[in-house]
Amino acid sequence: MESSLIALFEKMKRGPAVILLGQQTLSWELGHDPFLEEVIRKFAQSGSTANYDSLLDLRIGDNTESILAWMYDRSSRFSPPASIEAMASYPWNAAYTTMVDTIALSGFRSPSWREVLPIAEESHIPDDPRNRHRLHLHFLFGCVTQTEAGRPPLTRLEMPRRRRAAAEMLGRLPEVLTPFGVLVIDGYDPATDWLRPDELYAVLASLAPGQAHIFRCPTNLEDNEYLSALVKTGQLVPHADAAGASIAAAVQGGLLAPESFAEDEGARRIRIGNQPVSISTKQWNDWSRTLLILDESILLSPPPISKEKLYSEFREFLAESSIRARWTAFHRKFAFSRSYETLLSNLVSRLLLKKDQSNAPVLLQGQTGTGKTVALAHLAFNVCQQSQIPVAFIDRKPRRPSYADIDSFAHWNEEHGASMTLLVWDGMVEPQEYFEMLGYLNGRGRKVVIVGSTYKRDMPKIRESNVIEAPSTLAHDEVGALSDFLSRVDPNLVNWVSNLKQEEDPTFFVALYRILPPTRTMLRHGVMSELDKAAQDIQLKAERTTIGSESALAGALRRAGIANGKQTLFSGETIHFAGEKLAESDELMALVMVPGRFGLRVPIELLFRAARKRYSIEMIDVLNQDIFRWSDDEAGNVFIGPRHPLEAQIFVQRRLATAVTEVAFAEKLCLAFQSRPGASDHELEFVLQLIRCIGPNGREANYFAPQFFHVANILTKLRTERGFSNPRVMLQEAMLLREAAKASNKFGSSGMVNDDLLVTAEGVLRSALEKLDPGESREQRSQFLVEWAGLFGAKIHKAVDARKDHDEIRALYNEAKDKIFEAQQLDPTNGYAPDVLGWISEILLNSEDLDPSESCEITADVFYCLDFALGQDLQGNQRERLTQRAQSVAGLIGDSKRYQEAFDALAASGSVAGYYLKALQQMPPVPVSGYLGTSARAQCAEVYSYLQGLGDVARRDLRTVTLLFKSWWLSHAGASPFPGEREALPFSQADWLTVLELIDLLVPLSSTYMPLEYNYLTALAQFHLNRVDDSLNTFRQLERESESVRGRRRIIKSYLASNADGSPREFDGIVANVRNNGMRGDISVEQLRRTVPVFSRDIGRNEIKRNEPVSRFHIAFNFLGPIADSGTIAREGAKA
Amino acid sequence: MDADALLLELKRRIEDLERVARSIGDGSLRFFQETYQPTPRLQPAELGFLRTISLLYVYFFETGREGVEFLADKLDKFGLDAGGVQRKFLVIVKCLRTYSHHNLYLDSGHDREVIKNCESWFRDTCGTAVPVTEEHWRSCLIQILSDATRLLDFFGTVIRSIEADESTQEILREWRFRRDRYMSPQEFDSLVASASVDMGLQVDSVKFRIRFYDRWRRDLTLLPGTCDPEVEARKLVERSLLTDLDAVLPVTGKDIIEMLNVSPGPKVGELLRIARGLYLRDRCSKDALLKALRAHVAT
Repeated sequence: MESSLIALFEKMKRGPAVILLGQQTLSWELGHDPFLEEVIRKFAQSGSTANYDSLLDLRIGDNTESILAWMYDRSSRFSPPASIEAMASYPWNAAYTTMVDTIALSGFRSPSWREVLPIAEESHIPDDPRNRHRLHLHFLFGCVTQTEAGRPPLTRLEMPRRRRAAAEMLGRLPEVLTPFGVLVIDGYDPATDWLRPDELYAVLASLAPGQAHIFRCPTNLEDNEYLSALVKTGQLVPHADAAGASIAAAVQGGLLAPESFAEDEGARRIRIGNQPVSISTKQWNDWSRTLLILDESILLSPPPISKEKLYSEFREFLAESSIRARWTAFHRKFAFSRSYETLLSNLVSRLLLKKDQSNAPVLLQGQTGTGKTVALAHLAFNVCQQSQIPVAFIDRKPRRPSYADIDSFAHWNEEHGASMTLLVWDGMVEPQEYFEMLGYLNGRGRKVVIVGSTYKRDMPKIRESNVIEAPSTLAHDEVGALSDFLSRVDPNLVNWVSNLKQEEDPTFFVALYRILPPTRTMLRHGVMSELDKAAQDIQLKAERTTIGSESALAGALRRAGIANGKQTLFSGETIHFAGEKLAESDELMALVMVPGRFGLRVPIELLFRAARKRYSIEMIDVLNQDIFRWSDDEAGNVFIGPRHPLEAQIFVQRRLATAVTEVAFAEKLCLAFQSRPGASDHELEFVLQLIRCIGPNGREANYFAPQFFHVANILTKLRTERGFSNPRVMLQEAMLLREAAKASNKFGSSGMVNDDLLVTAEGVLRSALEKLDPGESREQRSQFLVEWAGLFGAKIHKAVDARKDHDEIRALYNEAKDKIFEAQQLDPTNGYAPDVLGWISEILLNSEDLDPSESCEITADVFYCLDFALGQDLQGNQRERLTQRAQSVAGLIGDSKRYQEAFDALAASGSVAGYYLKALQQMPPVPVSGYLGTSARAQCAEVYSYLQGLGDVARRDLRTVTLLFKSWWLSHAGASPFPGEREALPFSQADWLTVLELIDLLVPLSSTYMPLEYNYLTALAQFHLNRVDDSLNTFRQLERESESVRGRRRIIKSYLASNADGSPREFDGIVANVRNNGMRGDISVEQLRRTVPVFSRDIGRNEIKRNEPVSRFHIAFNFLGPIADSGTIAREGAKA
Repeated sequence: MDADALLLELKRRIEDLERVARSIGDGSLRFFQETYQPTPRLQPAELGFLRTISLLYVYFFETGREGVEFLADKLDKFGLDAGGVQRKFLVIVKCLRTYSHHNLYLDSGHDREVIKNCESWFRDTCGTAVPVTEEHWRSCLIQILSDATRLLDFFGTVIRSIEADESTQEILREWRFRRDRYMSPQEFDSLVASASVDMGLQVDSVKFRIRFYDRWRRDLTLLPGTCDPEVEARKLVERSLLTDLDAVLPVTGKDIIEMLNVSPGPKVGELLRIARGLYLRDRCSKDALLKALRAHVAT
């Protein structure tokens, strides 16, 4: 096989690989074009020849629609020849054709593992243009399946418009191809194809040499000035053979392995409980957007290889293991097991065996280069090998994982008998993000153990979490084990490495790659200073590389001495940027290394735009240095990053040194972002992540704090100058402005007056809220309101410091409080809402200007807010933080008799805040278990009586009504609402009526959005009052609204239908219908005369059968409604 | 209907199919090559089942391979196989033949798939994944014969549809194109014998053909429409004869990695190809070849 073909197949494997089929494809394959011949037989003038131009001279009259239908019908009768099937079987990233029939389309549709989406209109721009599993086949001249703008031209007058559409579609090809990709052309005859050689030339001329290959190259190619010019410059490589035969030969010879992408329907299997279970192609493709599912293929042992190749693979593993999981490396035992891996593995095994929902994720924390990525991948691999639990892996990428995909995968696992799903997310994100994901999945009833990675930081202690530390230095026993490990890879390695004091090097594993020379035979030779050399290499190479081919005009101007010589990639001039003098190579490296040190990889198009370099193969070639790593995502987007974040950090420290310079480079990248409708969002995700890393929530917030205004300004520019306004980005902008205002107090660096910063931030937030879709989740709206309240907090801080007018401060406080209350009603689990109010109240309570009555009002507000929040299903460390906040606020007033007297005085004077605080003081503490003893219940009853005795005064204030409800509930139920699972409440009909009355009192006092817990209790009360239809309606509304609820409360069966004595009610029924192989269905309940859902496991059966009677079961309730149940009852309620 | 009657019915359907096909167009539409196929005895049922599977395999994947592929394809094109039921039946015949006539290995993904498909078919047919009793086997035998007969009915329908279609001639042309690119093993045996004699070689043509037949067959299907299949088939045979009988190189990829200090990768393959060219010009020793290769690289 010729070497240019081998090079082509190598590039095809790396991708993107794109195919273009011309109009001669069928004629050359079959000796004639059956579609054309049939059309001509039917509609053409006699004597017409079978070529595409004859389609423009048909006798069609006004029958366009019916003729197209006929054409479609005819072309669907013919099968694609074997060579088209051979070409189509390859997992292309995109396909283009100038044919208009569906014969090739059916060839591409033949493999069942792939969806094929025909695109015939230029306005349709796919958002995943390089997806191998969802192939976009572009019909440049339309397709007979289409009727309007996407149909082929049928008259000569229609041709110009279609030609313009074809040019536009084809014009996007270089972007799809990227400088890495290859284009395979077959079936193209420049003499007859509708795509003219000059039009093809316009596109191919922008590609690099070796990128486009034309098969079955016409012998008269030299006669064509355009194509022969391309061949001369190497931009078009001609091959005599057919693409189909060449590809088939490459597959046969093992040069191409399409099966690694192309799995037949159902061929993807995972193991659950030691049994293989097939996954459909559609599901696999959907889940693969987010997850790397460890299927059986990962367990297959790789083929044996030579020692040389083994060494080479080991070195590659060291280089790439921090970027992506390499499963074959675990078979080859390349991964050195750190001691902490045993702890991690034992902990995860215990959690997987528990079969209950996890309360907290497992977090592996440690600094960069301590082997976390390898350890997590190794854990996933080992659990997969045990074949019991389904495992999915998420590596680090700009795109946030889709919770819905994960939920769907875990749900599918459970339906196929999995007791648990292991999700390993090497996200290196804040711990809170793992908690949020777990909360979401728990809320949907999923049983998932999440294992995540995070940077080592001084986190406040996270209750219930399982934190394992990855130490940076090797323990004594690890050093010994390392020698054994290295000797297994290659005995020479031990001697090589033993000369180094590796045990003192905290970055040993990162260093190991640099230490090891490229080939095994060079183990005895020295090493080089890579970063400097790479920078020099880039500079020299780029200064010597000319940009593309010279146009005729440019050449003429140069020869005439009017223009300079050919342009090179780098001019060699020094760049003055952000106060630094930099070589062009330094600039390019900095643009990769600044985000790279946070573990972010830069989308390649963004990098080139930021560096003002043309997107070309020459530039790619220049960047093809060992210090960089290239990667792509599931949509085919290409990224570049450092080999390791630690190396990027070293570069940044050595070359850039200051936060100012780093932010300047970040700005360059962010402002290079381009938002286009329908385009993939990977660039936006990158920008957001970069901003997060250098913002107040980043791990180096103090370092970047003086630059927050600058960072906010980047987002402002994006919004105002580039017209990109997105509520998520605007929230970040407002937060940065607020933090900049805070920081400017400290550093005095913003150049803008604090007040102005806050006013600007408020304006940003206001317009962001206006932009927020009314249908957006309660959670997101709540976040915006809390941020807004935070701005008022900052203003209050400043006003208090400046001893401003009291009324002004009071007005600011009321604004902040209203926003916080609304945020809390929207999302009671938003722990930041009471925290921000607590922070604001501390500022005020610490000020000397506040009189006791105002202090009491503020105290009442903050205690109400904290008390309400602590009764919720909080995630992560929020409970601890709020408890600390409550103690802190209490500390400000606790010992003061002055306040005690003030409470009494206020209460005596009819102040609601006074009543509230007085009543709150009398409330007993609620134990962690949630259950109260007899005396505590009596205390609650007293509080309830006290508040009741206040009459309307107490019924018109949110704080007192909430306490009224809480005291009644605690005294009657003996526990706080939602203490656990399957509670049977001892409520009489009158009690349930009281529940409804109390909730009714809350309705007018709440914001537009009532906390969903009250809706649940309303539905529960309606059910017990035999208003079953009302109850089911309320549950249906609750199910809809609770979509965005985090935490387990949504799915847990908190209460059972109960009798007044606190015993659960028993029901009888018959299974009305069955789904999922008898695992779920509906029971027709005799006593209700309605059906309720049932899961076989909830009533203690392996499966249920239709018409099967079920007796003496209970009905439990979660946020989704009633459900048949016979699980263990947590506690039968007792009458107070 | 009992198994023997079903088998007779099956054979009758094949004859009918051939008769109808021949009546269309120029009479070139023939699907099943004539071979000697004695009617198997179907008792006991287990033996009958195994014999039937062999017989169906011969019909669908050997003597009628090209025709069956064509007709199955046209079932799709004429929308006659909703849900791909008939295609699935062909797959199950292939699996059952592998299952009953070959050793299967559980560590092979392909073999596991075969076992899964067959056990699932057995369970659906006779109530158990592993048939044991005469009754089990009889159910399986009746089912496979009934399904095969049904498939032939579908083929009959599709042939009638082709006959009634306004593009009959084009469809027949497509069939002839496929048929012309098919050469039986026996035809290749003759080609091997003739090509090897012309090259002054003595090879066992059957043994040689067995090694390369699948590849030749695939390559023939990929030939463009303007090619002469017979000439191309001879070219394929001659290429195989040349490469197969070529001398083994005295150097290996490992030698190249070690002596020329090259990392494993495409470069090694490229150097091996250069080494082959050098060696074909001058059959030298390993050291001399490496020296020549080093010199070649240096230039």
